[in-house]
Amino acid sequence: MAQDKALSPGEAVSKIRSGDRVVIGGWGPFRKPMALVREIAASELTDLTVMSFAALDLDMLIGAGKVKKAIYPFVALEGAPGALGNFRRAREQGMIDVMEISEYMFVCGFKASVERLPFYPTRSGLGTDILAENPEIKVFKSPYTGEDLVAVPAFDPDVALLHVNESDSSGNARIVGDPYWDYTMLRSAGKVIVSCERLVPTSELNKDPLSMVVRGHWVTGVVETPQGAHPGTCYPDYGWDGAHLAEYGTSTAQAELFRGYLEKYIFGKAHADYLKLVNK
Amino acid sequence: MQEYTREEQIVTALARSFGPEDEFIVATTNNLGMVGVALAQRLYAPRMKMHVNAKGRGALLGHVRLPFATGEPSDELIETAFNMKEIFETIHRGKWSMLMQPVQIDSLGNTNLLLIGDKKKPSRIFLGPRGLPDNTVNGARVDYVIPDHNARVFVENVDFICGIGEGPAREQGIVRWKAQETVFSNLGVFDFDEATGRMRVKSLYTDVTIEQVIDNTGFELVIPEPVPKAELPTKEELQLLREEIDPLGTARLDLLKGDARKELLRQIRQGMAS
Repeated sequence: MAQDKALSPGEAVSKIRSGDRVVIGGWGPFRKPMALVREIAASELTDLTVMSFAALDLDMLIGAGKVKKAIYPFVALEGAPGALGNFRRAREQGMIDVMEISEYMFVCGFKASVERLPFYPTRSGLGTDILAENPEIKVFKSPYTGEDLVAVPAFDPDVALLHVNESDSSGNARIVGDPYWDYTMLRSAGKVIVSCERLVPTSELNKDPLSMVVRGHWVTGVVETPQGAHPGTCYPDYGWDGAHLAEYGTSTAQAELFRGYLEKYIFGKAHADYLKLVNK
Repeated sequence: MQEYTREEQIVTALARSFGPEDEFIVATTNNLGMVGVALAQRLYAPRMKMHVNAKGRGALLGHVRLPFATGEPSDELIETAFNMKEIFETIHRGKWSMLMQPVQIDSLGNTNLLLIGDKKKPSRIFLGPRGLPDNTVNGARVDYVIPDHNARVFVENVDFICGIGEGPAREQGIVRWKAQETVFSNLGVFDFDEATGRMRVKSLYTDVTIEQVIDNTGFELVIPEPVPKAELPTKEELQLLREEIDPLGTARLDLLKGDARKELLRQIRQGMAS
């Protein structure tokens, strides 16, 4: 029998604790669980370690004062308009701790956690300044060939946040576009919160059962947030909102301006209020 | 009008660097790269596929015509979807080729896409290490397409090594696999001297002097004598570029700045609309 895990955004975010290690699915401005990110920005949470193929998600959480440390291979809009001034300011002034690693090293940290290993081996990072800047990432000799390999430590996130196209109320869910590394990220985390464009019956998902990247037994809570990746994309449901991204970018130029953005769109605003404000 | 432009020299040099045996996937991050690969697919490397991230869905493209409307390729250009997980398997097995534009490149071909200045408090932060550490160790090829060759980009030592070149890690055999690396700038083509690992002039475009290259490079290049000149674009290449691949001249965008770039962008949008 299906178990009802449907939660409101507030109930879902109450599963997160200050100081938690939080991984956010998606890639750049693509299919990010932005409704959940906004809910965190409006919460009392502090001192999070945020792990992400990052764009607005990390920038917004930094701007709202939620981030102690960030782990990422990039922070980039991937061709979308706007700017990520909160991140830029925090990074250039040394206001947050960072672990800046390659895209595949980033994946390795989650692979290790999925397999309950202390680390995952890769050649990525050899010869770069990443190793000197991150002494917690060790190099070891292959016991078989004697060659140097990088041991990326397990990231062991406390919580994974993802956005999907469709989910049933027990957390079986389908991603229609590129799943990116969500498959691995969600299986690496202690708790998994899935936001979806639409709640659908399980029978709907079972028309193509292998398309369910997310299985209910991994999932802690499901939140229905139509347009939940706004102002980024959720293929094929919608593309990015260029005008809103531009407004966001302008607001990140100064901390005071961003405070105005948070007041206008996020503080005290339910998801439905937000959608009205952005004309969705 | 002259017979060919600088950007046509760049993209033809880039296209000819690929061949019929190249059955890998190539991804590019600027317009020169896109146009060069599209030309290579038609004339020199028909088995090569171009990858783009089409707003949340990876796609492999065949016979590209530019520009895509607002960066989104139309359905008839998309041969198949291709997700991120498979991209990394493709990189690891040496079947992925990356053409990208670094913030800095040094005499040994180390590249930086992360920051300028102090590593803890940089004067400017850029995108991140991204896939450079992955691609330069495992990829089939990593090529750097640099439309603004100057001494702030071509530096003796990069501020943060993201992509590895021919430095100690290679010399000491620490890194097992290796992507072939070539630099295509707006002045010429550069490879790396086998003996010293240092960047070498491979060929210069018409009207570019070696003095111009030396003045705009922050380290000592290996310079063969005589200095090789790039082969000229052929009639067939020019016809394909102008009539089929890039009739609105997107490749030129990368060479322009400020108002000149805005004006060309306006013309391109107008051309797309008509």
